[in-house]
Amino acid sequence: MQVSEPHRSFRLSLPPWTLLAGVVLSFVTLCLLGREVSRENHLSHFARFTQWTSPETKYYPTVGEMMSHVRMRMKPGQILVMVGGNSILRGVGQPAGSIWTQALQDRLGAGYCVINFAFDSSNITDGAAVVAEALRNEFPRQIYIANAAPAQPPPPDGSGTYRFMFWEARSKGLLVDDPARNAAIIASNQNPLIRNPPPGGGDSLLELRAREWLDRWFYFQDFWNLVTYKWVNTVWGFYMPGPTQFLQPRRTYADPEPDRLKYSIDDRYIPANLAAELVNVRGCSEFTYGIVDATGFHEQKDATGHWVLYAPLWDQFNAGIKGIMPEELKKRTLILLSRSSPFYVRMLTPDEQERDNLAYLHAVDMWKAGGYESMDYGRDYTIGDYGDRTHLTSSGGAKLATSVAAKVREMSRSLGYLTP
Amino acid sequence: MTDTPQWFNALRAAFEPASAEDYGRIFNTYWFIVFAGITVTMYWILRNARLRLGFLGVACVVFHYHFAGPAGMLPIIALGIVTYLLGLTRSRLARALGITLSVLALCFYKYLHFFANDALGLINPQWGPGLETSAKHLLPRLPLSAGGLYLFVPPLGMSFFAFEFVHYLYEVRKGAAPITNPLRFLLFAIFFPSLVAGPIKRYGQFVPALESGAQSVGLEDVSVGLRRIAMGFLKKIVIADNLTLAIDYYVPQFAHLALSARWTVFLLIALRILLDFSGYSDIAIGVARLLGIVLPENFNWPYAATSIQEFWQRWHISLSSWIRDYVYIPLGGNRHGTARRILNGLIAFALVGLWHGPAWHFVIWGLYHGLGLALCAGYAQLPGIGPRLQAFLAPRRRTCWLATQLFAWIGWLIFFYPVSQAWAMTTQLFVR
Repeated sequence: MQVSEPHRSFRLSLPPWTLLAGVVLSFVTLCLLGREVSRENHLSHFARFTQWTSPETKYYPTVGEMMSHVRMRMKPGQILVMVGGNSILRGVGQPAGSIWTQALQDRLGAGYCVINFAFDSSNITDGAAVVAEALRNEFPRQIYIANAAPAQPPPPDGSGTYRFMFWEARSKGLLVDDPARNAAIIASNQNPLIRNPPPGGGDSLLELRAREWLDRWFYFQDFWNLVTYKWVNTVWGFYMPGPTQFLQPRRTYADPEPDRLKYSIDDRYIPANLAAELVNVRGCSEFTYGIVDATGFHEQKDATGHWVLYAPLWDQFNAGIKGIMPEELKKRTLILLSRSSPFYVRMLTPDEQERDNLAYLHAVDMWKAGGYESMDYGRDYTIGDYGDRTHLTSSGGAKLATSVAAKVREMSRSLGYLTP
Repeated sequence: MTDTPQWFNALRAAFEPASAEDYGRIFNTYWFIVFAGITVTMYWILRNARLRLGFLGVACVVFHYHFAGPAGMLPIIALGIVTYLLGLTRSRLARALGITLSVLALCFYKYLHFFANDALGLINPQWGPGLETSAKHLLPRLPLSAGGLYLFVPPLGMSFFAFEFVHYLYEVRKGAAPITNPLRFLLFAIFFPSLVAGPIKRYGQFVPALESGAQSVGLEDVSVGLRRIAMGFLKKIVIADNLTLAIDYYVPQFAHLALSARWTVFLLIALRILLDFSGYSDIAIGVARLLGIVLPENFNWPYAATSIQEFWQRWHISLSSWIRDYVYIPLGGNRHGTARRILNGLIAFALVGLWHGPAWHFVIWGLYHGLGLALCAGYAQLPGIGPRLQAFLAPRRRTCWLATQLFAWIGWLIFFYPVSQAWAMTTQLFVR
């Protein structure tokens, strides 16, 4: 058996002490650099996170860099409007320059600073929520906006791929120590699928906490994000443009979002997907007014033929949204209920359409009852306002911006942000 | 967040089983970095060799429990206790039974599904599932979760355990001294750096290395260990993991790539497996070296080999030497004529293939190398052409190198992909 004497290439003539001193010194230097860059905004010309600056391509934005970006953007006297949520609010379907949050900024004017930190498949409690909470004392005049589907409470410590942001902020002591949320986190993490997600579902809770505990001291995530964004990308990704171009710094990649307004109807609403999409559209309300099991859908109606809410689900929802956010932050949170495109909704029976409408209206009421602000959108939108079943085109985005701007102003008044 | 003290939460977290995703990347989990940092520091702080070994034993149990979970750990504990006790007996028969038990455990946990469905299923598709279900029900249910949990969970690193236990009992049966100290046996069995990706240890070298390390770990060890770990992470994370993503992207479109791009992907596949596997070995060897413990080498520039024999002296050395010592030589090696030598080689290499996973393409990959080795060792004896070919190749080392590497790299296509796809990719390398 051969022994592990170092290969010839390992044989440097450095004495052990020198090597160790070098290792320690380099490590400490990199950690200090990481700490410094976490306080610096490197997201240049930022309008939203794109494929190149999201976990889709293994770029994991840190709370530190997002906070720095907000600090750079905010001007004295402005009200912070932080947009989170999923791909709908990120503006999928709207090209750079026509993103709905840019329209929102235009409508709100210079008194507000709108920042879009939404991510694809992200949830109410993910990145933007964490950053807004972390900045609650620095920018107390803030409104947080995210979107949701009816009767789906988000996990209290973020969802799947994006949970790292919550745990990063928590390990760095940036979040409110809220007993109700702490209890909700413990309860949520009893679920083995959340504690140890299946492959592809994000890191296990233990792995996340170990990572964030280490990062609290070493700031490696900030350091490598700066390197990959500014100088050289270090990780290949499926969406990267080519075998060598992937080394280009991420700041050089353009926002790749196409303009779905230019798509034909068949490209927006792909005929082959019709049946599956209708299942999704029905699904938005089916389970809120009945039981869906292996034998099918068992509707709940009263003697007069009106839809009756499936109470256990809504009880669970009400309990679920209680602990996802500290009480003092709920009232500045606007939850948008995103309706499906009328292209599909009109294909439902009148009875199903009624149920669909009721589900959204009831969800808005439930969020409000939970202490949040809420509104739905999309009922009066046209087929052209949607780029597919859920995402808006720039025309839909403009409508959303108009209604949200009105709501934000109203909230600003009621929260006392506006001086008389 | 809870009323329990922080240290208790940390300790409880250390004992928590890892997720399925973490099994495949043990060395690049944050848990491992924290665990290794604490273990190495504590090992260094303790100045007494016995305390160091005791602490290392506890650390190895924590590591094994974390990544294998209780259901994955119990079969190894049972097999380890049996192996340890049989090693102490004087009965050769008992030791032979112990060897059989390790082999059966390996077959049961790793190959039952393959034997039942892919091998037996070829004869009658009805037999496989029935056999598999019956075999699984031989084991009791463990009351470890609400629904109960079968012991039938493939234990983490089962192949390594089985091979090391077989080696141990085989050598003891031949007359070598057994390990009498249970702690040393435990450390031989579940030494955490080599638990998942080897190298496959030989106890005759490992136990003295363990004792020497516990007594005299020094700065030189740390220096060598750190460099080795750095090299391992560079190979594994910076290069191999990126190559994996790129290869996964390009292989589905292999047929539509330009010829030069196909060759590039082909070379990247070969580079990826070397860097991935040898990077893992480097980390294992480096972490062990931080504890002052020298593990055997597993790779020695395999892509510099100029013959198939040389390739296998350089590639996964601990596995190939194990197969040589405990399969090929006991089968008769090259002592019973050419036909028997070839047959023994094919059996040995089919097992090398099967060791990598329970699938036919691994077996075919093993047989492919077995045939290559037979051809390489015997082509000079072919009547007529043999001596002339030998005379042609002997002075042409570059040609030999090219032929060897082309052979080995085409082998990786069989290793990674279904045979039909591997064949298609191979032909696409030579046609536009």
